Amino acid sequence: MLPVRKFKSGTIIFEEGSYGVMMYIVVEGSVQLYVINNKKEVELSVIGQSDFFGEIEMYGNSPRGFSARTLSDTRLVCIKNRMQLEQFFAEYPAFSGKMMRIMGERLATTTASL
Amino acid sequence: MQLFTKPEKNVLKTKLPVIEVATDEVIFKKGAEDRRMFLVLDGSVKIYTQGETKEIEIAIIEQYEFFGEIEMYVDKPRSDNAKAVVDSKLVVIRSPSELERFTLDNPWLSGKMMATMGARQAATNTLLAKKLANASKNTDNTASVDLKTGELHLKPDSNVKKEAEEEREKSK
Repeated sequence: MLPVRKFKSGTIIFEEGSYGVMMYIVVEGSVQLYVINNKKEVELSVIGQSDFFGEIEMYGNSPRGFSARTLSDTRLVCIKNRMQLEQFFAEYPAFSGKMMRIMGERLATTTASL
Repeated sequence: MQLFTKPEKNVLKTKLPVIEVATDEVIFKKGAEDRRMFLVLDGSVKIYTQGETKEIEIAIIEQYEFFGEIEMYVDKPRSDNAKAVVDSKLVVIRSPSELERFTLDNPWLSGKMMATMGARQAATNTLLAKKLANASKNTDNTASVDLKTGELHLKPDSNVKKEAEEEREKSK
C-alpha cells in the first residue's frame, strides 16, 4: 500500500516554478490548480476524487507549470516515481486505463489551444 | 505486489485491428478527416510535412510509440502526413475508450505509453506558456488555459480574446 497523506483545507501542495517530481491522486477532497498571471490568481481547473495531477513532472524534469492548493480537507496518494505508479496500478488495475485516457485528453486539448 | 498478477512481458493482448503497412506507404495525409490513433508494434513511421521540393521530417515514431492521438480526441483534420519508414505493424485505436481498454489489457506497454504522453504534454505546455506570456505582455489582461476543456481564457474580455476568436474562425 502506498502512503495516503492528509492535507488541511487551504494547504499549498506545490508552487508554480518549483521543482518536484511527485504525482498526486485525490482519494478524498479537491485540489485547485492555478497560475499567477499579472499578480492575479487564475484558476486552471479543480481536481476531484479519483482524478490526478502533477504527472507531467514525474515524466520529465520541468518545473511545475502551476500551483496546487487544497480546497477542502483532502487525502492524497503521493507517488514519487514510475515504479510506485506501477505498484498503484497493480493495486487498482482500472486506474491505468483511466489515467492513459485522461492524459491523452489533456494533451489533445492543450495542443488544440495552441 | 503479488507475483501471479505480474503481467507477461511483451505479449500483446487486444481485439483491436492490427494493420500492416509497407515501406514508404502513406498512412494518412495532411487535411484528411481521420480520427484513428496508431501504436507502432513493429517498424517505424515518419511524420512529415510536404515542402516545396522535399519532405520536411517532424518526427520518427519508433516501436511502442504512437501517433495520431490528438485527432482521436479533437475533431479536426490531420495537421501532418504519416508514412512507414520500413514495413511496419500498427495497432489501430479508434476511440478514447478503446485506448483505455488497450492500456488495461497491456500493462507491459502502459508505462512506456504514459511516459510518451507525459513528455509530449511537457513540450506542449512549454509552447503554450510562451504563447500565454506573449498574450499577457501585449495587454493588461490575464490569460490561462482550462486543463479540462483546453479553452484559452482571457480575463476580462479584451481585444486579445477577439483576436483569438477571429484566428479560430479563420482556421476553421
